[in-house]
Amino acid sequence: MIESIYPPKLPEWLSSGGEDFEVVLASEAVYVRNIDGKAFPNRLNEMELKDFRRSLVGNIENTLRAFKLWETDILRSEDRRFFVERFSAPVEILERPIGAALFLSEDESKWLGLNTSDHLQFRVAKGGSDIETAYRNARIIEESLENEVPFAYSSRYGFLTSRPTECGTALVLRFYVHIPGVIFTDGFINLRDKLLKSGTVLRPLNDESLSSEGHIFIVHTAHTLGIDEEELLGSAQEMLDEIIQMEYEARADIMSKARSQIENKIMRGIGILTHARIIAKREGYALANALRLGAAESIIGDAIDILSATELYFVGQPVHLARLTGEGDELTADTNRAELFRSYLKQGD
Amino acid sequence: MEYCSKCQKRPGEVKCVIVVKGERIKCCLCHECARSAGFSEQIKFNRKPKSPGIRFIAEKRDVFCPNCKLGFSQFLQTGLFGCPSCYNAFEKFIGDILKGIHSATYHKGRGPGKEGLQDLTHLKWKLSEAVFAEDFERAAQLRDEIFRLKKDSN
Ligand SMILES: [Zn+2]
Ligand SMILES: [Zn+2]
Repeated sequence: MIESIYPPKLPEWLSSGGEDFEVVLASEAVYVRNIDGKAFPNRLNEMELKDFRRSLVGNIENTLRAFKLWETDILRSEDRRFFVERFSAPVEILERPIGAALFLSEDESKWLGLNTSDHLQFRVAKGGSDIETAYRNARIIEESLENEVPFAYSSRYGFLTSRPTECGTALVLRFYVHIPGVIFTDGFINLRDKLLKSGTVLRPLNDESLSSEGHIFIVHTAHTLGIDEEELLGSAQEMLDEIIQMEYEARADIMSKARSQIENKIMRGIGILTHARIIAKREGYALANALRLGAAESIIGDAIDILSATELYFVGQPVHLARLTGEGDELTADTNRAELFRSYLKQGD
Repeated sequence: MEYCSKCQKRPGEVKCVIVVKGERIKCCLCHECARSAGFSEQIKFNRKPKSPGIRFIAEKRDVFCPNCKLGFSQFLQTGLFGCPSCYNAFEKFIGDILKGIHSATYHKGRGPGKEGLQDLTHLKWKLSEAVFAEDFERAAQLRDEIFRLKKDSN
C-alpha cells in the first residue's frame, strides 16, 4: 500500500548532504506535548485511544494539512519499520501502533506521532549539522499547534510529559554522527563520559556493539528542566562543534600515523563489495560506514562517493532491502544485499 | 542472615511493609534497594535496635494519583506517569529523580502562548470534545462563550 507513495530510495533531505556531512548525517529537533487534563496514552485503553485519536486529529489536521496522515494500526508492521528505518517516524510506532497515528510531510523531513508515548511528539530534521534551522521550524509547528489544542503545562515543571525526566521544555535536540576516527583512537568512552557530564547522551543507532568503528551514533540532549530553549540550542551547537572537531583531529591523526592500516581496511571493503556473494546485515552496516570514511578521506578514488556510501547504509536495512530486491529468507536477503551493494560501485576502474 | 528480597545479593537490613490496596506485604531490603524503591528521607524509619542485623522498620503506603489512579510503585517500574495530575500527586518523590538528571527542578523558559489565547484554545478544545460526544447542549454553550471571548478581545 505505501510502496506506491514512498519509493525505497531515501528521502531527499537525508540523501543530499549538508554542512559537516562527513561527520554529521542529520540534525533533528523533537518536541513532546500533551493535552491538558487528559490521561497519557499509557493509561488509555484501545477504545479510549482510538476515540481520542479521532478528536485530536480533528483539531490539528487543518494545521497539518500539507502532511499525509496514517493510522498506524492499519499499517503493516513492515511498513512501520520501513518508516523508522528511514527516520520518517518515531520508533514508538513499532511497539505500540494501536490508536496511534503518524502525520508525515511530503519530503519526510517532518513527522508528528500522535498517541505514541505521549499525545503529541513532532520532529523536524535537516541534513548535516544545521540544528538551528531544524529547531526554528519545529518551533513554528509547536506554536501553530498551541492555537489548536491546550497543552498540559505547569509553571514549575513546564510542559508535562509521560516521562517526568523530559518535562520542562520537553524539547530534545538530536544528531546522527559518524565518528570512526574517535573510535579508532579509543576516544569513545572518554567522549561519552564527557558528554554525559554536560547532559548529553551518546549511544549506537542500532544494536551493534560499541567496539567496532563502523557505526552511526545518536547524540541527544537530555536536559529539559531548568534550561531554556535558546540556551539548549547554544550548548548543543557547542557540543556538536566539539565532536566534529574531535573527529576531524582523530582522522588527521590516524591518517598520519596509521594510514596503511586504514587504507587496508577500506580497500578490503571495496574487495568485499566487488566480490562477496553474501553480506549479512551487520557486515553491511560496517561495510557501508567503512566506505563512507574512505570516500570522506579520498582513499577510494571515485569508486563510491559519500552520498552513495551513506545510502548504502540505509538500503542495507531489512525492509528497504526487501522493497528493493524482493522478499525472502535470511540467506536470500544476504545474497540480495551483496548484489545490491555491488551495483553501487562505479564500473570500470 | 536474610538476603534482600529484591536483589538477593546484599544482606537485607531494612524491613519494610508496603501497603497495597489494604494488604500488607512484608519484605526485607538492602539499603540500595530500599532507597531506589522510594524508602528515603520522606519515609519515617522506626529504630528497632533489638533485632540484630535488621536496623530499621519502615512502613510505606503506596501513593495514588487521584486523577488517573496510577500508583507510585507502578511508576517506579515503568518510569511513566499516567496523566498531568501525577506531577502534583507525586511531587514529594520526584524532586530527587529530577535533580539527578537536570540542573534544576524548576522550569525555565516560555509557556504556552498568551493567556487570553490559551482560554480560547481551551474552549475550542472543549467544544470539539462536546461535539464529538454529541452533547449539543453543552456545545451550544461553549460556542456562545467562544463568541463572547472573541468579541471581547477585539
Ligand atoms: Zn537489594
Ligand atoms: Zn495521574
